[in-house]
Amino acid sequence: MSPDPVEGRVIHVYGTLDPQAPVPAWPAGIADTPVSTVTEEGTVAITGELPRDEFDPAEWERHADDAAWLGAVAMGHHRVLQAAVAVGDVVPFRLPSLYGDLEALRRVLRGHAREITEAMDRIRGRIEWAVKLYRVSEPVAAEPASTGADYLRARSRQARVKTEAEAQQGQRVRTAYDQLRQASDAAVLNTPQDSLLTERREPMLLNAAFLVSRGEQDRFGEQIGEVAQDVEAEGLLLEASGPWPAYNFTATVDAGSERA
Amino acid sequence: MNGPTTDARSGRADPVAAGGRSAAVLSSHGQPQSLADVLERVLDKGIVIVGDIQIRLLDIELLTIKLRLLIASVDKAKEMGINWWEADEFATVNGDKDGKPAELTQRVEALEEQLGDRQSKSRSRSKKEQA
Repeated sequence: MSPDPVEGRVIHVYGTLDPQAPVPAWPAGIADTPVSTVTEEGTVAITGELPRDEFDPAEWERHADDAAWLGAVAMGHHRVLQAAVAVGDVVPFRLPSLYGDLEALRRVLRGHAREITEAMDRIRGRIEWAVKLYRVSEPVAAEPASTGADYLRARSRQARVKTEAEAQQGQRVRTAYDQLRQASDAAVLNTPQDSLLTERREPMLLNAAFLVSRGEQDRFGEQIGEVAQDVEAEGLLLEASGPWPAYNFTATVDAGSERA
Repeated sequence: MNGPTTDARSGRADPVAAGGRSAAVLSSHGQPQSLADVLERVLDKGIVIVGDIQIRLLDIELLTIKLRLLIASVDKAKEMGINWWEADEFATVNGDKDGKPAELTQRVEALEEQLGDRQSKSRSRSKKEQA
């Protein structure tokens, strides 16, 4: 049981641990602060104390556009959850979740106990994998043209081929998603990220997350490999990452977790 | 710590390698989760339990963040020790290792213009919600 935060600090909650799971060795949290847990009626909250003057509402507002600040906070939050998911199940809280004192935190944990338990039940024994598909090439064959008329005909043929190829790629993306969804316990389709975010020239055509049993990871990995190979012939590149804390599968239903 | 597990990696990487893709693909598979992916998740996913200190971050535009990232990456990133994206990908795309700040600035300006619409819409929406 932690005491109240020291003067000038606020409590941040990263998420909650499965009460049955071991408590991991914590990395440094947001702003290099130590991480600990607070237990309230069977809910084990992962907490840390942050300097109030750096994390009060005015500071969040001031930094809302500040990628360096927000990026560092986001990575600190994620780092702790990633350590938790390495040893057991974790329900991530959306950033930020801040409390002025321990009683406020306990009150909120009690008030949301059912929601938290339900989220934990949904993801127990499972982790998240992310799969993206990028269009890396449009299979349009270049044709030699000897005359101007030939050239124009070739151009128009190429345009038609390109449209068909794009439609085929779109269909292939859908099939790839369906294949992986069937190999997983649950799936979420997210908006493809802008190339500004991905730092790649190739447009993203699929941005999906899959909930997979821990014991099924190898099999799911093989499935990903097969799909990757299949789609390559269609000019698509598959990228996978994981395991992630089950971020995409712990929100309440109306927040979109059941979209797929 | 952030990277995929060994088992999972071999599960994915081998078939991809067999498919004949270049080493770039494999390295991107083996890389830690990207900042874009982390932001997408921690700001937009997870269970929403609002603390007693309430902060409205609901309307943060990921693309705005990324814009700032592009700018921040040139000067601020290293001094802040945030260099997880700083691998080949970023350098290749933006050419910042060759010192082309003008090109980067141009790109950001063009993108800001494109985004102008979306952002102002999102701003006005957020104001309405607050009102």
